[in-house]
Formats: sequence, structure tokens, C-alpha cells
Amino acid sequence: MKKIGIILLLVLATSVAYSQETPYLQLTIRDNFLTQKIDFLEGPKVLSKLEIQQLMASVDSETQDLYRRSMNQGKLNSVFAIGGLATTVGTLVYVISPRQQSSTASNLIWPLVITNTAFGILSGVFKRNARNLAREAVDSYNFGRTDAPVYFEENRVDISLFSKVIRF
Amino acid sequence: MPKIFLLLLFFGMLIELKAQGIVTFKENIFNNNRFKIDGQEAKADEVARLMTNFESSQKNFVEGHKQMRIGSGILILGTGVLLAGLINFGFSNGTQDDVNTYILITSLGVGTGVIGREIRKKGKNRVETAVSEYNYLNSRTDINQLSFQVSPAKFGLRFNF
Repeated sequence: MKKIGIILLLVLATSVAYSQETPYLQLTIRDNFLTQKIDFLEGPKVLSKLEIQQLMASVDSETQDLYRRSMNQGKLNSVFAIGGLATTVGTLVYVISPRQQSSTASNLIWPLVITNTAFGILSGVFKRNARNLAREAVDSYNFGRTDAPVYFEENRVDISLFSKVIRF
Repeated sequence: MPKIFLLLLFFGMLIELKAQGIVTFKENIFNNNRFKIDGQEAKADEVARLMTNFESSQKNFVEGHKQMRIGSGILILGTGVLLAGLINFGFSNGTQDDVNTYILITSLGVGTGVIGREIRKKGKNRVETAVSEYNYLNSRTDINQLSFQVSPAKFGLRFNF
């Protein structure tokens, strides 16, 4: 009986030690001229894309999927940001350039302005989505999913029937 | 009794328990952070209260949050000034004087807006760093704590030492 106890304790101790070795990911998000740069940090080290993918894949496919979606949203953000810049430049050129006195040309300003606004809004939406998804992926990697959707209340496994914490 | 204890130990070892009190957040449509504690919606005050044991994180969180709100206020003020300038210009006759006033008001509004945005960004970064720091400390170094937990899927005892 004692032996088993000691063995169990040893296994527990090693498992605790093992569980503390898993890396802890952090995010830093900086704004660029057009888009944003999302860095995944492990301690002071900035992880490469491949390393992040490997880490995410080591947890579960959902985490990997979150990361992939975040990257996709980032790509969409860049597309719309570049489109927005192009329309801004177009509008400026159109306003500054010497105008020919024809009614067809002057109709071009409103489409340009509206496209510019739409691109700006869409770019902002995708930018935020990319950030949110990257955060979700990191949280999912670090702690497991904390806000998984609940489809069947009675099947929830994360509610404690009994929980007691003793601090000393 | 020792048998039960051992059994508990065994299950605790088999099943990894989730750390408690994890703060996550998501940005809403105004790019403001909406916090969640263990998946439950929570206000910033509650998050700050949760961080009581980690003073530097709590300080950064509270001050960053305040900074962010001040920055947002200045940003809204700047936008208001811009709009006011535009409306003022719209009702004017469009003489050279009016154009000059418009340019003056607009540059004032843009300046205020940029300052507000920078303050807000700084505060937001501080809040996010504080949350990340807190989560790390909370999940890794909650020393001197012994927790029992029984649930349909997880059942066990956790030691942190």
C-alpha cells in the first residue's frame, strides 16, 4: 500500500513538473503604416510562422484552425487596406488634377469616396477579427478553450459539482 | 480513508484540471475590450478585483484602463471638433475667411484626435499586457494552494508546490 502511494506521488510530481514545461505564448500587436503586425512570443523569443503552426497543431485542430483563420483575416485586411490606399490616392489625384469641364468626369468623385469609406470600414473589421482570433488561438493554446460554445447544457463537463480550494 | 485519498490522488494525476480565474477578452465593434472570466462575461472592475493577489498586474490594469478611457474621451472630443468645423463650414458662405477658419478648426480636431488615439493605444496595450501577465502568474505560480474538484468529467485533487 505504501509503495503504491509513493509511486503515485512520484508520478504526480513528475506530471506536475512536466505540465509546467509547456511554453506560454504571448501576443504583441503593433500597427504598421497600412496593417498590423501580430507577433507570437514565447518569453522574449518571437516565433516563426512554422513554429507557431507546429505548436498550435500539437494542442488540437481547433486551435490550429483559429490560428489559420486569424491569418486569413489578416490577409483580407491587407487586401482592403491596399485597396483603401489606392482609392485614397485616386481621390486625391482626381481632386488635385486640372479638371476638364465635362459632367461625366465629375461623377467619378462619389464612387471613389464611397469605395474608400467601404474599404476603410471593411479593413477595420478584418483587422479586429484577426486580432480577436489570434488572441483566441493563444488563449486556447495556453489554457484550453475557455469559451467553447455550449450546445447541450446537461452534457457540460466543465461545471464542478463540488469545488473547494484551501489556501494556506 | 487513506485509500480514498490515494484514489483521489490517482484521479487528480490522470486528469489535468483547468486553471481557475483565467481572463480572456475580445474587442467589440468600437475596439473596446470585453472581458470574460472563465468564459463568463465580466466587467473591468471585477477583473481588477480578481487580480488582487498580483499587485503590479492589477496596478497596470487599473491605470491602463483609466488611460484608455481618457484617451477615448479625447478622441471623441477631437472627432466632435472636426464635425463642428465641417458643419460650421457648411453653413458659412465659403469665403476665404471661412476656409481659413475651417482649416484651423480641422487641424485642431485632427491634433486632438491623434493625441487621444495615442493615449488610448498606450492604455490598451497596458491593459492587455497586464491581463497576459496575470494569466501567466495565475496559471503557473499559485503556490500554497490545494484544490479539490469533482465534476462528471474531471475528478481529482490538485497540488501546487
